[in-house]
Amino acid sequence: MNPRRPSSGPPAVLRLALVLLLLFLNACGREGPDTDRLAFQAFGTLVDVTLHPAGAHDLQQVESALREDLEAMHASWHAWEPGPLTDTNRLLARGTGFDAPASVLPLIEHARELEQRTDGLFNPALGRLIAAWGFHQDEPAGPPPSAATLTALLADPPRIADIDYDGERLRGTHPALQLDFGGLAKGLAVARSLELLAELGVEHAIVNAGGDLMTLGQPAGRPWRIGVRDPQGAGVLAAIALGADEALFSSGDYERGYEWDGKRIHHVIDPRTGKPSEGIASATVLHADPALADAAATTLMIAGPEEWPAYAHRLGVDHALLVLADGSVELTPAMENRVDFRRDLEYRLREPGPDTDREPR
Amino acid sequence: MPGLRWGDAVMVALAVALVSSAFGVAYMPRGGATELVVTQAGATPRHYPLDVARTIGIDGAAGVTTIRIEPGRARCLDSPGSQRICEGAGWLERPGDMAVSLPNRLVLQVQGPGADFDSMHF
Repeated sequence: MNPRRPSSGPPAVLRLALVLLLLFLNACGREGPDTDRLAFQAFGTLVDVTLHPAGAHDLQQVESALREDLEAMHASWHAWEPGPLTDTNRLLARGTGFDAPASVLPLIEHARELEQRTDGLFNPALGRLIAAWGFHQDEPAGPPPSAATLTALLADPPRIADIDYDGERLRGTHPALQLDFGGLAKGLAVARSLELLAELGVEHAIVNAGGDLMTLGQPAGRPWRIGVRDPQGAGVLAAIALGADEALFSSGDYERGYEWDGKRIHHVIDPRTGKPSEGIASATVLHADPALADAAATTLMIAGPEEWPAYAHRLGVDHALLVLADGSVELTPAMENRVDFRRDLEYRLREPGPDTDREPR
Repeated sequence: MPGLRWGDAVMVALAVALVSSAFGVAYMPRGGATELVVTQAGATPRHYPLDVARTIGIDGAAGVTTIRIEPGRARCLDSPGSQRICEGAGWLERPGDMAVSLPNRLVLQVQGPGADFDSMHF
């Protein structure tokens, strides 16, 4: 008979089996996403919210709070449906002083700074021009403005600087001034949504409004993984890793638009020509400030293939990715470090600032 | 081995095999998508296994989004809207791949072990 050691606990084999079982359960725990998702309609678009970790949040409460807040901002900032912004436009056109509406003032202040930094290339005072192209309606439609109309609209175009503001009251000094914050409002709305999530106790989330997004915190041990849709084909162009509190905004000719005489008329209007911008199919900007990211994406697209690095420099944008009209891709070195392209392509690195061309990669 | 009976040895072998296979599934290069999740504004997310080829229609605010499901993948075949964003996403086959229909307020995402993307930028 073999001698046996006395033991007060379970046999070693059983303990080993228990350890292996725990490892097994841990391995199984990796199945499935570690996030919850919400999708709802607000701010005139589909809002898609990712929350981490899964199962830790009151999804109904989050959706309800975000939707209510976004809808309030949408109503306040709408460029053509009656509300605070259309009231503001009416009073600005009148040329007499009036109390600055609290809901619209942050947009005007942001726009004033951005217009200065871009020397007017970002100009939200050109609402009449945008409307003339048929974009002040839910479904954009032609006809485009005639050459005579464009000439008249561009003869003496208004700017945000044509609004006098003394800290309390606003006064318009240009009768054609009409505000349209289409290139800025979503950035501010997303920023406000993240503040609201933080107030609700959410620590890790992404708010994605119609494709433009910002992160709140980040999951432990990994970055947020964002897929970038290919603007000129099916599927995913690239994956971008985002850290905490980073915004990713794009402007593209595939967004709002319509066909006219076999030509695509898109919504990003170049204030220099009065026509849809040319040369860049999409501009993507990564920045900590979502309002700046939103406006910068529009500005870089308008600036065009030659000048976008100069405007990125003016706006303090280090991370930018551009798909040109011919399908070629240009990006900043900082963005190169964040991007994982999902198909073989040549791209060109360009440093923000003037005259910074480099060889293709 | 002293003190180890044949039943113990069988148990150890089984446990080692079980854990090895679990790690194989969880930590080795990931497999394909196994499920399509359709999230629609105002509705509970719907789950469709990616096992048998079929075509489904989802009613939305602007019309019907038609989705083709095949083993391991799904795609938006037709959806309201002039921008064709949903169709442009192509086949969704890697866990986390996503398509969006703005007019119908839909997010289509395929899931499986180890999702590629947390959100989709477009």
